[in-house]
Amino acid sequence: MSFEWSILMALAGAAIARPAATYLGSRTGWVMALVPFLIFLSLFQHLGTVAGGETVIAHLSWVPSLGVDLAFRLDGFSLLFALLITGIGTLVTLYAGAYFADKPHWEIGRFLALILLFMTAMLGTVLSDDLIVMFVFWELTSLTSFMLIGFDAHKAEARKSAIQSLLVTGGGGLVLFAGILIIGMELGTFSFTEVLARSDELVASPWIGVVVVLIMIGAFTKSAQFPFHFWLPNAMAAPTPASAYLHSATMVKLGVFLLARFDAVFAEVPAFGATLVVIGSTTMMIAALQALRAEGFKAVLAQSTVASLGILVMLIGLQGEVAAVATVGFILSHALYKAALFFCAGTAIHATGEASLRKLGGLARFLPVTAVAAVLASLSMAGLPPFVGFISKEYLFEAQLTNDWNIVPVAVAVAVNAVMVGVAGVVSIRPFYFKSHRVTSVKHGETPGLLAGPLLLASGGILIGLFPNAIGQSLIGPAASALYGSPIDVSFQLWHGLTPMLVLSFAVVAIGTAIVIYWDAIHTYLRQQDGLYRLLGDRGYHRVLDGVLGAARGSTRLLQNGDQRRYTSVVIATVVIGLAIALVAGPAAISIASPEGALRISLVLVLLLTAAGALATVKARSLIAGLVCVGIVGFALAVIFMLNGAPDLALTQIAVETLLVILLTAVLLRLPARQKHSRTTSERRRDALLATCFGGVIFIAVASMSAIPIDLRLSDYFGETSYLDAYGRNVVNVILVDYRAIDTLGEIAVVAFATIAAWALLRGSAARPGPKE
Amino acid sequence: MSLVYALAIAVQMGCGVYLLLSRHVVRIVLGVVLLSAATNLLIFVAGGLVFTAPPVIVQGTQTLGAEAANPLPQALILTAIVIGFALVAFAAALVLKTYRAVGSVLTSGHTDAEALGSPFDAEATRNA
Amino acid sequence: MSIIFSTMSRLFFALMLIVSIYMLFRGHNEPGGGFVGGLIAALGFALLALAENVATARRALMVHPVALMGAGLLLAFASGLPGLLSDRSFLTHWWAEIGSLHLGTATTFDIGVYFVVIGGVLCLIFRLYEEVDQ
Repeated sequence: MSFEWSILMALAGAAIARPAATYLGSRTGWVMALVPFLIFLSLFQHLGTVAGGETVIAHLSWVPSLGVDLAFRLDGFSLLFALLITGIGTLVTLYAGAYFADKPHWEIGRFLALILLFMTAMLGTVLSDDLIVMFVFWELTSLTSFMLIGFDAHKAEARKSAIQSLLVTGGGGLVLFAGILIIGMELGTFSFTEVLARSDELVASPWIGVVVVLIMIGAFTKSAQFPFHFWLPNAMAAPTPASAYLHSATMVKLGVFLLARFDAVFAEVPAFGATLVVIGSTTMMIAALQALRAEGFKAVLAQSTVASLGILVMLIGLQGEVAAVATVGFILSHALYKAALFFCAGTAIHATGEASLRKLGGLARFLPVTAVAAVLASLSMAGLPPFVGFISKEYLFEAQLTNDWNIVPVAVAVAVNAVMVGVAGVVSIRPFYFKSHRVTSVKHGETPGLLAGPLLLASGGILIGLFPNAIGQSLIGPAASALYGSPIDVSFQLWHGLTPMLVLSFAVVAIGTAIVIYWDAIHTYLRQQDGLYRLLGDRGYHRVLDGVLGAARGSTRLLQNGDQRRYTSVVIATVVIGLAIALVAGPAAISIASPEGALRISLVLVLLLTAAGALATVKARSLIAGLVCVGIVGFALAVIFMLNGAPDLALTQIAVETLLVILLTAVLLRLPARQKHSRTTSERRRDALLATCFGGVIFIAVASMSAIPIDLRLSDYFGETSYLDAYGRNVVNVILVDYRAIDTLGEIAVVAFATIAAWALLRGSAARPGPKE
Repeated sequence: MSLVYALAIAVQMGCGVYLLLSRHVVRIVLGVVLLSAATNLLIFVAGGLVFTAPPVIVQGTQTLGAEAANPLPQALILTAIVIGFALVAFAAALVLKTYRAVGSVLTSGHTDAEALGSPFDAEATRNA
Repeated sequence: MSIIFSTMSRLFFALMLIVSIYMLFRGHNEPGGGFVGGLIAALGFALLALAENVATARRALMVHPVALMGAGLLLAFASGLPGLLSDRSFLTHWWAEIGSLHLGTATTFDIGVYFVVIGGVLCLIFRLYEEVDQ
């Protein structure tokens, strides 16, 4: 099966999840997990092809007129992501089935439908070759994560976090879109493969700086990099299975994915790598501090995710083969242990109803297997041998040391990794083994569905650590090669000998152990630093949001003040100004003295009659008199049509005018007679001035218009072919029913809808009691 | 001649706009009628008014004579007249319905939406 | 209501209906057509409604004005379908030549317009003048 069908399969899974849940009940999780699992297997088959360094491209024409193709691309890097997305997706589906066991079945169905839709979007993003298609999927991940974060829509916090994540990631997506459009404008293609091949052309273009900044902003918002780091920790308002998915494998790594993809394109742009290193390091530091400060089980994990993303962004900023291997290795190891830890946290919180690390303790008695899984995953997170986390950390340090950066990033990396060790220790030991008096009972024990995910992932971490070569050759090597741009011979090894990296690892573990021991003191101290929190939190976001709301409030008060007259004035004044500008600056000169035909006295009189009728309408004291004046204008218009060779128009105008008078009379009979002015004298004066300006501009425009020659090609064509092709002598009628029949069809539809609406509006209204006044 | 047309159109449009700015809903509807009539005349003038024979192919010939009026704007205006009528009729129905529901023919009396308060105030109470 | 007025209105109603149908069918070659024809017919019914009452006019129309409007829209739409079949182009009309007379789906289209206009206008007239009668 070709790989692009996996996206369609995932979508089909999302579509059937909700109805299936009604039939499957508590087994929904197990059955629906088959969908991502089958996709995982089908993608797994491509491992051999891709490991040979091949890139598979699939094409489907979508919007050829815009140059947008449904093109998909499978290389080592996207295959790694696709496998992580579907593999962890399988476990998340399984886990969610067990997690929601106490909820109604339809709720499981709704959640799984969203998860699978989310997976579809993720798969689409990493597999797309066309940048526009990728953007569509990218925004779809923002939308589905919005729905996942806000899944418990009855909670205000969930709604708030969901909107925050949507505003940040959706807004970032639009910025990214701008970048993509500029690339398309410059290179004339949206195909990533072609952009990659012609990257030197792009780098040479004057737009390159803008493109780099736009794409970086898009990636930073998605991957929660400074200054957009605040939304991700709030996003844990989502149910835990969704958090595990959002935080580990997928959504937040998309930004990293994008940066890594464009790394090969932007490699020549000098500031690109440096910016990534600086932003990544800043994010790491902030997130590390926040992780120590956080109190909730999930909150600590979420902050450590932000730190990990910072590490990844920094790694992409570094050059060289080792950096590429380190990036890929860290993506893999982080996905494994972070998803496992979120699963364990979810089980612990769900079983106790308590989320604070300060209140959890001794859970190993009740959740023994979960505790073991948490410890195993933590060891990988702490980067201890023989876990995969150890290997990826060694590569991280090696990548830093082999680059010509100064010591600051290395120091940051050591500090942040030490915090990771500390966090790993705190989240695995404290809730499960310490302070056993804190929790004396749990609401439920462990079920197979709750255990499968954490156990598989945690043991995967140790298995890869023990046998790194298998995965190194088949998955990490091709992925790193795709990232680096040329084949890398990867020796993904557990033991590198006594190297500087090992020394750094020792330092990390030593500091980390100290953090675990003194966590209470550090945590309490940091919580007292309110200033720090204000600096690091999402205050900036709230400021911006409040500013936008304030501007909206102000403009609403100004423009939407409830007075219809003012709205109309604004519209008319705008028309007057626009027309005046067009007249003065437009290509056609203003010419009042135009080529005159001979004055036809009868016509002049009728035209003056229309003007007099219009003026009389304004002056009329009663509404009925006004209606009569309008009627005069209408009938005079019919005479003008008659005198200028338009009998059809004249007939129609007379009939319509008669009907209008009949209708409006019926309406006026039911309304109170007009007694006084609805406007004050000064308002009337202002309106008269505006109306005069309007009339003046129109006068000049119409007078100048008649100096411009008319293009009669269309009219001539109709005149010549009307009888020969359409067998009609009345050209007007032939235009209506034949040449422009589809137009006429639309117009009679409008007439039908308008009159049906009026029919419905007045239904039964006569039976009602009279007006309030 | 075109100056006379321009004057007639301008006066009609100016009067229409003046009525449109009124607070009396029926005056607004009358303003719409005047504006649409003036617009139809404007399109008619824009099509050129050199020839005054109806655009009908004379019996015995197969193409439209050179002295016939321009048929295209006539076709456009014909539908515009009928649509304008439907629009005004709907607006009149709306006026009647509004008067019966709200009890006022002045837009300043149509304050049901404003009575609900500002959306920002509603949001503030929800968040508090 | 004076008997003379009533009788005259019925006479005029019949006259206007005949004129409207004449206008409709001559529209392709002479000034006229579905719009004008429909408006004149609607005026005829309006005259009847004003001179007698709405109920009489409704009876004279026989079908509900909204139904007439729907039928007109459907007819106009359907007249475009043959062209869709033969030329893959919606509303490209078919023609049949009977002697010197050309009959085609364009005429059907115009009849659709005629019905929509009658139905639409009468919707409004009937609604508004029904209340006067009550």
